[in-house]
Amino acid sequence: MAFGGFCPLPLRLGGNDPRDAFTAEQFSRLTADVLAMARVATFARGTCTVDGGLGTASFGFYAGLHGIGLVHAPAIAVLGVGAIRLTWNDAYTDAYQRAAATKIIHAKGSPHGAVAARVTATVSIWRQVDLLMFDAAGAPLDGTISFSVF
Amino acid sequence: MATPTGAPVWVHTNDHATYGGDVNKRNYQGQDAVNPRTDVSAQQFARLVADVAAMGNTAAWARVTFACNDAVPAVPTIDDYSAMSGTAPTPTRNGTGDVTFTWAASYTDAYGVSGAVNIVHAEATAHGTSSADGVVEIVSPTVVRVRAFDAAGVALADATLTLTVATGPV
Repeated sequence: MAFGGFCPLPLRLGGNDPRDAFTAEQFSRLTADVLAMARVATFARGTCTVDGGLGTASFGFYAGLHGIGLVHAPAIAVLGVGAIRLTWNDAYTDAYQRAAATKIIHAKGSPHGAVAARVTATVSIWRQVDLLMFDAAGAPLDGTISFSVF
Repeated sequence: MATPTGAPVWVHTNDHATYGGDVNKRNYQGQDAVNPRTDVSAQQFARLVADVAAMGNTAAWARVTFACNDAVPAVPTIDDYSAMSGTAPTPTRNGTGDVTFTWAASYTDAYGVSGAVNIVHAEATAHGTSSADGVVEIVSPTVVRVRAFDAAGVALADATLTLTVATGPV
């Protein structure tokens, strides 16, 4: 029986019947694993398309620790052909309105398509990432990019 | 048996409330944890579920490292596979350095709750000691094609790549 004298919360760890118990060992494993995953969790990932000729760029998908869906996506700016700049807010709040500053230290991207291409990802400042796509000859290339930010 | 609330995490519809969180979560009768060795407070539980929900947002659906078999044309070899659920996707060789992976339409979690797969994000990284690139193509919500190229943009034979895919809400 997991409930203690202050049922239902605080949760009292313990019990022998796995159907209604939650032991200290289980909770310790849960918290250790959650912390381990948090240390390497992706801050954000998304898929966006850039058309430097038209000066347009848009998201097809976005998910961040702060929320999933395009409404949570960073600002996107076209820098040129195959080049975009993503700018996140200074900080984001969780479901309980606790704020945490944005501090991006790593980013990577992959080109979509059927021909040779590559993407470079540069963390220009702590909340800004530049994604540049090139063709095999090293010329800027418009198209779709999937990226991850940490 | 209790059926878990919400959908499996790869469906991306869960939030902190799905896990029992609430912005007004409180300890019963305002009594905080008495003994941190045996008790979990409402505050601690709220933090736990908020962080789990956040990590669920950006977690990858699957990661597969595979080797193309081009010298002797054959189905690509999957060297390693990890995913939120299920076994490895079905690989198909399309040509030199050109592979398609096909996942099932849905998978079940540890409690038998099924969730649809809707791949919306893919990244591929080439392995090796010379310049190479992986280019992805999301063919459908369950099918991803990966092509490997060398520095000159020529299809790369017998390449090894790691593909990471993520799902989004259906």
